[in-house]
Amino acid sequence: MKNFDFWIRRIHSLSGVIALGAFLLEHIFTVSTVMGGPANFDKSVAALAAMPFLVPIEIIAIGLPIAFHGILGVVYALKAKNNPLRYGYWNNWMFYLQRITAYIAFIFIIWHVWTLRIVGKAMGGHLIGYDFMHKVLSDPLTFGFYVIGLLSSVFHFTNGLFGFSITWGIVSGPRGQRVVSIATLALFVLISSVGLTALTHFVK
Amino acid sequence: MAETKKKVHFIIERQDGPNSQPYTEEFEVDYRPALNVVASLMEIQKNPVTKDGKKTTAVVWECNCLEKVCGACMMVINGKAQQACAALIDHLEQPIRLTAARTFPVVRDLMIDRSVMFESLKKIHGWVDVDGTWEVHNDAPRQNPKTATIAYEISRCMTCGCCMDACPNVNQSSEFIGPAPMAQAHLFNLHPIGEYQKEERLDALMEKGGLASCGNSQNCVQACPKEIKLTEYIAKLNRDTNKQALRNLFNK
Repeated sequence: MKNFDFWIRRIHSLSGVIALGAFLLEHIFTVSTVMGGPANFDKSVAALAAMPFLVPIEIIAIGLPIAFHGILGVVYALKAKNNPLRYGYWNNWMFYLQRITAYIAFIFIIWHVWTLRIVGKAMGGHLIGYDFMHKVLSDPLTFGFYVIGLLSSVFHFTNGLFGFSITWGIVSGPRGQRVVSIATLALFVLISSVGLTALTHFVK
Repeated sequence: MAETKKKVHFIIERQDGPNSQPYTEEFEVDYRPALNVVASLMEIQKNPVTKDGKKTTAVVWECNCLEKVCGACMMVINGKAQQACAALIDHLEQPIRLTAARTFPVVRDLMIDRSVMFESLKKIHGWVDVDGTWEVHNDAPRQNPKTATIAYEISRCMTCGCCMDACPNVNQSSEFIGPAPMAQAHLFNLHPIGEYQKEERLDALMEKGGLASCGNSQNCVQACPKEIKLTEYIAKLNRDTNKQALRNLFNK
């Protein structure tokens, strides 16, 4: 196929926002319903579980894009010679952090899906709900890993939007890029605040 | 009373040949006002004796114009790739560490082989085809003066390779052609005759190791000694290649 490598890279970028980004937002939104009380959270989990074609949707719309974006991303990231200590510019640190948070999020997501969705729900037959999450997150080490995983995923997504806006030629000039850079940083603070607040509600 | 002369302390990474192991040697050069790195290397060449008084071979480097126009003397000075002729000792922290820009194959000491950049210029069709259908001075297509201003800025690229060394995605294990050749593709796409080959250039940029390998670290725009707005042109090329990719997909 003509432009094969180009399209793979572009789909990599697109999958990060359309599949992974959209799911991340939905996920944090659903989890945040815990702020309205444990019953509220259980209700929204039940609503999602009642979705038709749930497993195919989980695999095709979430699982495969995550695997594609993650595995390809690691291959790309490993080719870089990171040099923020030599070239300590803001954007270079962001470039470096984008890769570090990617590795963390990659491991966190595999562990998160494995322990909850596969071992917890599918194999163990646990009902994923407030009680189960309360038990899981009451362990301070697990809670800490969730905080790191959440912050890494959200950073990777919001900072990824900055790269996305350039990859797709949406902004080109220095002013436009600065505006997007600040906006995505603000989005990071906003989304991670929501996520962290939701997390603390599980251990209250 | 004898005045102790102010010295400039250099730590230089040396390498005897393309496949030899690098090692460092230290040198001291007499300070004088407005001294730069190239002039210091000339002093070392005149008297190749290390700081400890050991006689050694002269340090090899390249230079030509001595006014930041040719790009030949690019090397890594205190960690950053730059032109040695424009690197004033007064602006540098001592000891001054000189290394070759190891993004490129090292020929000897500070001398590198930049031919990969010229190969990339060939790949992206970095020239204007003159096919003889116009008389050169009559009725040639005109360029908007505003576009000409941008073209002038990009045309000052001297293929020095600072952007290539600063870029984390340009290295021996990656196929990425780097910022400089991409900006040149944009330059020739802006040209009223050059744009006839715009499609070929964009197609070349969509090959493996092309534009899509850019990771947006934006080091290139900081490192460029000619202040070419590389990231801006990369973003514009992103827009152009996306359109071209869609045209290739749906119009062909």
